[in-house]
Amino acid sequence: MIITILMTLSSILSIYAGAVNLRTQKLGWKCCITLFIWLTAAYLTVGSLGQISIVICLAGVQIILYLFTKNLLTCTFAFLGYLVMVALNYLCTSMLGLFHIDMELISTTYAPHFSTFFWILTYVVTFLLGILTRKLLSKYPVSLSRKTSILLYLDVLACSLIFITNVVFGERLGYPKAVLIVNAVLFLTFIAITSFVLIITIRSIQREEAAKATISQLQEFQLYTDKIYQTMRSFKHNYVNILSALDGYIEQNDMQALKTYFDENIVANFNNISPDLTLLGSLGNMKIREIKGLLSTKIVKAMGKNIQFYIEISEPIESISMKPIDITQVLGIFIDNAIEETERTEEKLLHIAFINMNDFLRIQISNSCLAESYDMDKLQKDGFSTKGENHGLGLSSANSILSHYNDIVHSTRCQNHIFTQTLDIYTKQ
Amino acid sequence: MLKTYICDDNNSHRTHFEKQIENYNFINGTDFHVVMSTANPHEVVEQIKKVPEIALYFIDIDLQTDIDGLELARQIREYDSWGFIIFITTHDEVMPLTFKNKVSALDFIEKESALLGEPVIADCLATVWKKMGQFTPGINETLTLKVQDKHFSIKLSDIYRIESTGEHRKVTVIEQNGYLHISALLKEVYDSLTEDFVYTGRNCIINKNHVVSYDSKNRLLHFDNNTTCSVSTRTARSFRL
Repeated sequence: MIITILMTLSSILSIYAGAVNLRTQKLGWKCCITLFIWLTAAYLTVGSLGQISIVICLAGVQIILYLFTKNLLTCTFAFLGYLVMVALNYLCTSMLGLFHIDMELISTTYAPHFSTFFWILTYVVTFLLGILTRKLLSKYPVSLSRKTSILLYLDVLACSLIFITNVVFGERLGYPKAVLIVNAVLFLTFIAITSFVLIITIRSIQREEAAKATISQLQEFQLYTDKIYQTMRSFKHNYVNILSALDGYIEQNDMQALKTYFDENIVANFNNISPDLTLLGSLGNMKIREIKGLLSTKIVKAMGKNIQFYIEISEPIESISMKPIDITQVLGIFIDNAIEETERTEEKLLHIAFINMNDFLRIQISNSCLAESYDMDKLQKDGFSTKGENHGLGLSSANSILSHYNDIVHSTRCQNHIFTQTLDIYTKQ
Repeated sequence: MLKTYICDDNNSHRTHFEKQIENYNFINGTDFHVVMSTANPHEVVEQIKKVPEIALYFIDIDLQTDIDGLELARQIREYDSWGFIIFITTHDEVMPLTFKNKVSALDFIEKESALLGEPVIADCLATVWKKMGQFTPGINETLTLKVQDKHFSIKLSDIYRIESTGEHRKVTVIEQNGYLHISALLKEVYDSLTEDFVYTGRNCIINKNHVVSYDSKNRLLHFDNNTTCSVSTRTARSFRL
């Protein structure tokens, strides 16, 4: 009796370990308990159907995980956890085979010992792998598009199905020793190859996307320079006109008319006559290509909405101790939010400054906003937004990127109708 | 009296400023005393080195000499950290955020508007005079946290509460009009705070000076910036204010 319970528990726990230990995010106790109850229930009801029951178990696990997390990556890793478990199983049995230990004996007399040992082994291995994955993911966060994550999921799903089929047939055939060894080797190489191919594919996709972004940024920047060129031309045109008018008055020595002309046409329209070239000169100091590209895209976007966009980069910025993909994502979100907010104000002001403060680089984004000041309690909560759901999502994903950096101080302020985001990025030693 | 320095390489600009300040004094009965009006930034530094005290500085950004206005401001800040710095700029040179952050510049006067007769100088003088009246050097105790072996300081009186975020060893410092995320452990932060700060739960420390009332029924603290903070049952007993 005890032996049966022990064996049942071991089987359930090893599947549970595979599903949970490779998690990429916090699952919460409710999710874990639901999983455990499901596995127990599934094992007790359909467990007698042999390895087919595994399919039912896994399907349930996937559904539960998806319902609780809404994250395909977590589901994918749960599958991988299962694959690791199967691989371990093969490894163990083939080891036993290599040492000429009788499988009959293992599956009868020593079954409890084996399953307990196997459970602990699975638990330890998946636990360590889980720590490793989470470390790697927090160090190199992957942001997969919906399409890629579905593809990745399907790949792992197909892989698992082949595995399960193999196991089911293996069971029917009674596990001959040679087949086991070949299987173990085949599956391990298979896992290694697919993981490798997947990583390469994801990387190349990301690179391709980055290249595409650069091209579109270049195109937008082209638009911007064209516009600047036109402003310059009209400025030159105006300038020549004004000068010739002045010349006319001087020639006639008509001081009174000259004064009137100066007051009415030059003083009154001063800001209209002189073009605003603050942007372009300052942008030249940004030596990081990705950020320069991002800024020029945003300039074009802001220009289309009649926003006065000022960029201050007083000294050349050669490097930032943050990964380009992270900093551009965070800045992109901040600037988009600022544009969205300032668009609704009368002043339509948007300032961005990159300031070298010796110990750290300060990036400050400040914009005019409608509210005099925000409710700090609400503002602080992740995802809060004055503009509805999507907006808030951007902020919370910016926050989650920033939370991986412990040498950045991020502050948010709102005072006198000015909203300011400040990032103090400390330089790495 | 407030000592006033003008540093601009253009003679006529300087005269214009001196005249405007004089006029302002005459009309408003203020006492801005122009002690130096020069084209040489080094003279200004030499002078304030002798007698460091709070003063008002009008500085042209492009001084046509070995240092620019920003560098002059930086040197001034070594001797006068509370003085009022106002930059005289052309429209294209203005970098308000950079200058405010680097040398706490108070304001900017655009040459174009100043010379076109807008009352920008008078506006600046009014602001400075008002700030002078409110100025209290007082004690400025700070909370200093380490980031990458460097220090990050926050004025204690600015802090409303400090919370741990639960993940990645970060804390959130909530101030009157904003908040900041910084990596630190709440317990270590607590150890370097004064007794004005108390725990209201495992993850939150508050500044008692900003509490206006305590709602003991709902165990809620109300702060003077209209925020609230709940108090855990364990610590509630000490909050019968």
